[in-house]
Amino acid sequence: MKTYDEMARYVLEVRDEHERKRKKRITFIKRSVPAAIAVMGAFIIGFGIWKGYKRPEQLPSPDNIINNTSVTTTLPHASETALITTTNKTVITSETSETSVSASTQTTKISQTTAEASVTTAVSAEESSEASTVTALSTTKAAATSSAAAKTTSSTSQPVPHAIITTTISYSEISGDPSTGTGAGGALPSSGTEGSGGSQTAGGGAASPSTEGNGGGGIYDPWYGLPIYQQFTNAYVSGYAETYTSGCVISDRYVGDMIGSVNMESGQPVEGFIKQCTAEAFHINGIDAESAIAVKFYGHNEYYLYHTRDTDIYNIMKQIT
Amino acid sequence: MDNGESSYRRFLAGDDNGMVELVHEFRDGLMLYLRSYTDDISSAEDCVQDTFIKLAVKKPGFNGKSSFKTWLYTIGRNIAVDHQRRFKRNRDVSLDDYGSVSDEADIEQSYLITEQKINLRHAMRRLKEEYQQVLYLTYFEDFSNEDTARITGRSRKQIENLLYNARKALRAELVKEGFSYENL
Repeated sequence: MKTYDEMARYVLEVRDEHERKRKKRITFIKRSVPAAIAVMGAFIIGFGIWKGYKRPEQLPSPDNIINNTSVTTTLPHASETALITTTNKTVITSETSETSVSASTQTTKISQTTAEASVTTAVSAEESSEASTVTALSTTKAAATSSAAAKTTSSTSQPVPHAIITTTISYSEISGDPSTGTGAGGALPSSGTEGSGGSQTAGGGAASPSTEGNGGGGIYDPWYGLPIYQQFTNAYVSGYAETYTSGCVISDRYVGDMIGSVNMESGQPVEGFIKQCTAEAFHINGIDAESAIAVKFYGHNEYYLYHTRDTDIYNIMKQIT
Repeated sequence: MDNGESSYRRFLAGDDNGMVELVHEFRDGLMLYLRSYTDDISSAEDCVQDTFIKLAVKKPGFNGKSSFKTWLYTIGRNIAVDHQRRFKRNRDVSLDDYGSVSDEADIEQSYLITEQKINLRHAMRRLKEEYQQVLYLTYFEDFSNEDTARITGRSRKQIENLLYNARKALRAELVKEGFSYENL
């Protein structure tokens, strides 16, 4: 049996040993915590950067840009002389949305391009009639904006027969040629037609075609999956008061002479904007242009029937079929 | 005498002599009390040592709701109960761990001093453990029923009943051996 002093000494030794271990532990913690915090911070920052990284937007390749510099507008009902003082440049940007589906994986790639364009078209026309001479000025500013989204989805849930679905969406944008015109263009987005007396030259001086990507992450609008004639349901032909709405595809053998350029608009806002583009309007053989026209979009081979609201589409179909 | 409170406060202030004083003052009495919880005096000694180690390492705060001695015996009793629980789980202890009977006798001689108390404790050793515990705390350490209840973790009423039965059983033992203890 231990004596009093032995027991007291043993108790104090145990206490000292415990204190020594505790101090050692505290020293270790004091030394290791800053390093651990630094490592953790680096990890968190790295993780944040990794999570925040987004793939750069795929810009359209030069092959997708077609310059069309010769657009001649012939005013309808012409006993007039048209003077075009501005050269228009049309930029057609084609976008491809491709979906590949295989038995084990599904990858969806959707790329959209944000394009901003401003166009100022000044058409000075002198129209002669028996009673008077009318000088008309038409200034059009068009803007088109769309956002972009890039998304990749992988799925292994259900085996799907191999199929490749390719959807091509094309729309055109018009930008003014900076080389001509003196007006201050580039106001986005705005759309309008102005007319005034006199002869005037105006142009989209500062407007330039630009295509820039957006960061993605937006919701894919089903509008992009529609056929082109269902995307742009409204057609406005210069010189015609009527608004044409889209009908159906018609064969090119019913298409007659070209009327001119036609401004196309989407029937409803897409991502907050009314989509616009231009196309070519043609007469339909045997059909009054006041009732129906054929529209051909740039980059498309098909012709689409557009008719006024009060036109009986069934009668027209009977005539052309 | 403040029952070791001042010694403990001096130890907490950094004076190791405070712990030496506590060991000198409370070791024997605590060991004899904890003997009823253990199978031998050596285990009781270990429990006492663990009690002082707990004071030295953990440095629990003494709040003064009871006397320091009551508080210390409560700690010792809890450690002995834990020790007993472990011992029941692990019975294969070597015989070397058992202390000699002479060690216990030495402590009785030094702590109880009088022959009458030593004989009384020998008679108590034949009683149930819980009788031994309440009788020792009451008659050898002079704890009140309240303190005894606090130390043993029982209610005061339970202690009174235990004491009544323990006294009766001890009286019978003493009569059997031819002793009489007038305080019972």
